[in-house]
Amino acid sequence: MFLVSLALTFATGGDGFEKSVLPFVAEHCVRCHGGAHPQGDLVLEAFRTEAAARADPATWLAVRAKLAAGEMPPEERPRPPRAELDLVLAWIDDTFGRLAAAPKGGRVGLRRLTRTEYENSVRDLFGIEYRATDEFPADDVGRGFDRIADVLSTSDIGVEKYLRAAERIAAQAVVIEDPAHPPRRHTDAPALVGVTNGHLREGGLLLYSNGDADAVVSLPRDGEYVVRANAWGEPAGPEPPRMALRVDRREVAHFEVRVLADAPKVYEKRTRIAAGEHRVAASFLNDYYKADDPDPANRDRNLGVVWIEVVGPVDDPTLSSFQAQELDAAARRPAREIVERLAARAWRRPADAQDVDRLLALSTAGASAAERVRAAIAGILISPRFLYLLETDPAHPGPDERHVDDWALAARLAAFLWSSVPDERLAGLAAQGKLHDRAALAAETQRMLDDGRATAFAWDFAAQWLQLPRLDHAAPDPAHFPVFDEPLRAAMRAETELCFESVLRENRPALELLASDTTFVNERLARLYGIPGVRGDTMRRVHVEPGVRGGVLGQASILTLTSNPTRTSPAKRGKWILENLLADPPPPPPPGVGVLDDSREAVTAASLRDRLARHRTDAACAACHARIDPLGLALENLDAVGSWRTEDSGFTIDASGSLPDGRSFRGLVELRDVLAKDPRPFLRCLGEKLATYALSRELSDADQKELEGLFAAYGARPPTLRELVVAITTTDAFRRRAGGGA
Amino acid sequence: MRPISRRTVLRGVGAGLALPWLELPKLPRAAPLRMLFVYTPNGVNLAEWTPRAEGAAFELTPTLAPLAPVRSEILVVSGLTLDGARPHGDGGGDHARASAAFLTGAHAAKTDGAGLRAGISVDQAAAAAIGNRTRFRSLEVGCEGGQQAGSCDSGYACAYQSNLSWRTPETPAAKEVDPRLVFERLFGEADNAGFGETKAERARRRKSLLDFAREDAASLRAVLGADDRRKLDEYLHGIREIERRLERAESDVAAPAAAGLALPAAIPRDYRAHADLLADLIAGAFQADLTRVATFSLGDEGSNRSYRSIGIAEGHHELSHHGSDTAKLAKVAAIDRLHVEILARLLQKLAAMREGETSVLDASMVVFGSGIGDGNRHNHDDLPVVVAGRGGGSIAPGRHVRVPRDTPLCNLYLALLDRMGVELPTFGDATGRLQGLAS
Repeated sequence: MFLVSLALTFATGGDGFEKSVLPFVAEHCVRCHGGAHPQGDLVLEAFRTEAAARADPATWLAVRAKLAAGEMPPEERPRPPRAELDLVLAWIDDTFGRLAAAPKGGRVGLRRLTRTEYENSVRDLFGIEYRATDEFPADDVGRGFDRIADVLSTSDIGVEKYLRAAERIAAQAVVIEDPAHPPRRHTDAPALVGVTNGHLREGGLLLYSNGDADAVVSLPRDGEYVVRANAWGEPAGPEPPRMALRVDRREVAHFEVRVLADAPKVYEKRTRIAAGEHRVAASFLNDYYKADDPDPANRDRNLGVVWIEVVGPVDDPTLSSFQAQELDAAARRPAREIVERLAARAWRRPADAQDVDRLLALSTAGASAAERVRAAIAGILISPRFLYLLETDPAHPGPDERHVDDWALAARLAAFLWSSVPDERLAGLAAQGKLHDRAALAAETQRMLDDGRATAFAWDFAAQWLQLPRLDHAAPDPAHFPVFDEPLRAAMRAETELCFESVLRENRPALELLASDTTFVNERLARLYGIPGVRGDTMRRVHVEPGVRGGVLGQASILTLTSNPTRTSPAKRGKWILENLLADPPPPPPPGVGVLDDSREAVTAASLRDRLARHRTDAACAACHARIDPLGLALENLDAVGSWRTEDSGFTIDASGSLPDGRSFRGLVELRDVLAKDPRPFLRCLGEKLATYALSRELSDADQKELEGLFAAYGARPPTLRELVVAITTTDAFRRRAGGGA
Repeated sequence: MRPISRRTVLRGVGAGLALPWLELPKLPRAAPLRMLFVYTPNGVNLAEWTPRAEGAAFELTPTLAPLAPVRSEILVVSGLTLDGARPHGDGGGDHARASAAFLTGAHAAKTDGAGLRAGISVDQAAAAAIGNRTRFRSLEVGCEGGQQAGSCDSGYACAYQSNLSWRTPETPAAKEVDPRLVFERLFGEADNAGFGETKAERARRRKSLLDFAREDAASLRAVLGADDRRKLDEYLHGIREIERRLERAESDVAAPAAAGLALPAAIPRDYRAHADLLADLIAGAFQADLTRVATFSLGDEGSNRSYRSIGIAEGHHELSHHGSDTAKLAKVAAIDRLHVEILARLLQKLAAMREGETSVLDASMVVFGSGIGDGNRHNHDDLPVVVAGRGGGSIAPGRHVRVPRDTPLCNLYLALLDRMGVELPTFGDATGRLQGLAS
């Protein structure tokens, strides 16, 4: 592995097994895992040669997991010295690959679109917004990203949502309305639902006490509708019966109903309603009953409802950009041509004549061009060719790795950089077969990064890499952190997104993500940071003196999402740094270990640093926490919402620390400088994350090797973020598809 | 208030009021059985949960106290084990394994990518067998939408924690979180597409659309490798499931009534309100016989939610590692109690839904539990489990039973599946059928 772990440098030689593993196993393992009655049916005694061991990766990976987790040797046995243990782990890693669940590698499976990609594709194809993120089930995350082909499954309910979306988008993309005859949704009294305090009688539904009668309607689009009720009253008491018209409990109008049952009247109101299903209610508001009124006709006030109607939409539709361009009356393009072009774009490769025939067969031949296109759009969107990134193996496969065809390459690029479908230009290059050329690919990547759509990449990648969705669920305790609220949460997130985007767009060194002299704040965030002179909600770039701000470690978003609700968590912060900045995640804690005592007594008795130090005296914890805690403790001057402090629970904060390799630092600034001084682990980590995101799969050993070569090429000058992205799109990993067979 | 009107009401809408003299003679066919699984994450404070006494004389412990109104309808089962959730050499990851194993009994494959695999879950086994009798084979809802970034538990893919139900060993059945979407799906008018067409036109158009999708997938399938085919089969299953439902809808007399439920607005910010809405929708779906199988996750396993509404600022997961600290244990118990309150309210609702002489709860088998016993120890034995409902007379509740050590949770499932009329030779890691449910 290229990655030089920040904490542990593994020294391995060719004879690692004989020198390191055999003696270790003999001393620590075979006592139980050998002999006539081996524990857990595991016979480690049997592996006497390296060749024998190499033949059984499953066993050795299981051994690695046990050793790394500190579960073995068992507690009652002597602990092996850390250095010896590391050598064994290193040998296993070198022999079987670092990733315990070693992938077959290099081959991306059929991948379905993520919700984000679905939304963006619909936006780019039709110019309309469909909130797939709210409607579809969540995309499961693997390897830190929501776009890993192997973990994205399709559930029945997901397909149901696809059907619903396909129809709704089609209806919105091609609006077919006759302004002279807006649709009328009529519900007679017997069909009214949700009736409280009412009963049917001749002439309608009688509401005898305050209550509702609902008509359930499904509306095609956001727009203006006329809500109408045909009603009459039975007056009594000092005022006439009053009725409200409501849409989903929102009152849109109310009326005095002065007509009687023999002459009902229509009461109506024009109002704006969103697309989808709604309950439109007529409500009786002012029940009155006086049993002893001398006049029998003046005892009981009631409201009668004959029917409810919703008419519309009655306003002019906003035409989608697709409809405006493609179905422009003047152009009079035939439906077939429109469908063919659209299918090719949505499916990311040309549709053949037969496909187009089948799409056109979704409507009757006599239908208008608009109706034919609308029906075909539903077909295009429900097709697996849209919903899945489809890469078929070429007809004449080479030995084991092949180039993907230009169409697949265009689709990969668009998914990587725009989370969307290719545009016309990209599709044109694919059609001409010009895309697989490295220079062309690099040029296209540059062009796509300049495009506004690249914001999708900047924000989506940055958010997932840095785990920003966790910020959405962070819940700092208001008692401890009254400053925290929703606007501040939004500003925190925006800072991180904007910083990433500016480094990308301005072609700045990738290292500026870690250490920079600018950042983005608005008034709220500036106040949290103690930056004077920033007014208003708008995020803007500010210069920061070399200090804690500038770079991800000083961003309130990161500091908050790695904290507990009531306090910071140096361990979480340390783990976050190891995972996301150094690609060196610590192994999970062994089961049954103690956790930090957080009781009031413990908190007031000793500083967090001291309590963590005590935690580390536990041998089971020490090895990992020795490299986790110092990283997190360096950030202790920043509290659980990222605000500067010098004390915690009455203890002066000591943010000094050193790494197992001896490098020491005091506080965030020095830690950052240590990380920036040898930028390779950080850059390598970023490269791995970018590649995982770009390829939508786990990285294989071959991918890792290629990345290694890529970094070697930069030599002393650290690359810009853009250069890294371009480099990744021109790797073999991005341009090729590993052999099938599996 | 008004005698006249009152009488009119009784005459007018009496049929809907289930008055005894209007009721039909008892049908020879018993009410359909329902199955519901409710999950509470991170284990519980067992000291406050487990009753000391066994049998009918069991006491309602502080955590179970909210169940007092339905005490006679619950069977507290102590001592069940979820062996699949144990490490078996895979190291850390108890939360992921507990969630993956809870309804499957399976030992999840440790992967954060390729080779995702748990097992078919008990609800999905039932759905596969009897789901075709209802409009929806099964219903999956939950209060949390899964983690959307970072690593989940110790090298396990997040899918293990965000899903309880698995339709196949490799394919989770995703849950819905938004009550509005659940309502629209269950009770919405068969979903107007906005095409301004008649019902018959829509049915025709949709049929050809689904035919198109199926044929398209079939033609792609031919050129794909085995792994990719499996993915496409997931899609095809979904398409066929919609087709089945549409065919059914044609023969359905009327659209299902929403049983007094209102169309919910957005997801409530208040946890309890959110959970109660989802519970109401499950109850409504059972009552209208839209489905007979449901799962309800009160929180994803490992959830670190802070339950502010009951005064708890710390995260649930964080607290569950209580280290025997009294204050933390009390907070864990308070969260447990909140979850039990949600269950109690749901059970009362089901009990109030009459079907002839019995209630929906009588015809239900509700399993409430966690895949972890004590959150601090991450143990997977001595699980907190409550079975509620009478299973159509096949379960005798109102008791606390303690099963022998290491009795698999799947033994309970196998016994419940039998009652559902889903007879499987075995299920998960079951060693037999749990005895003693009936008496």
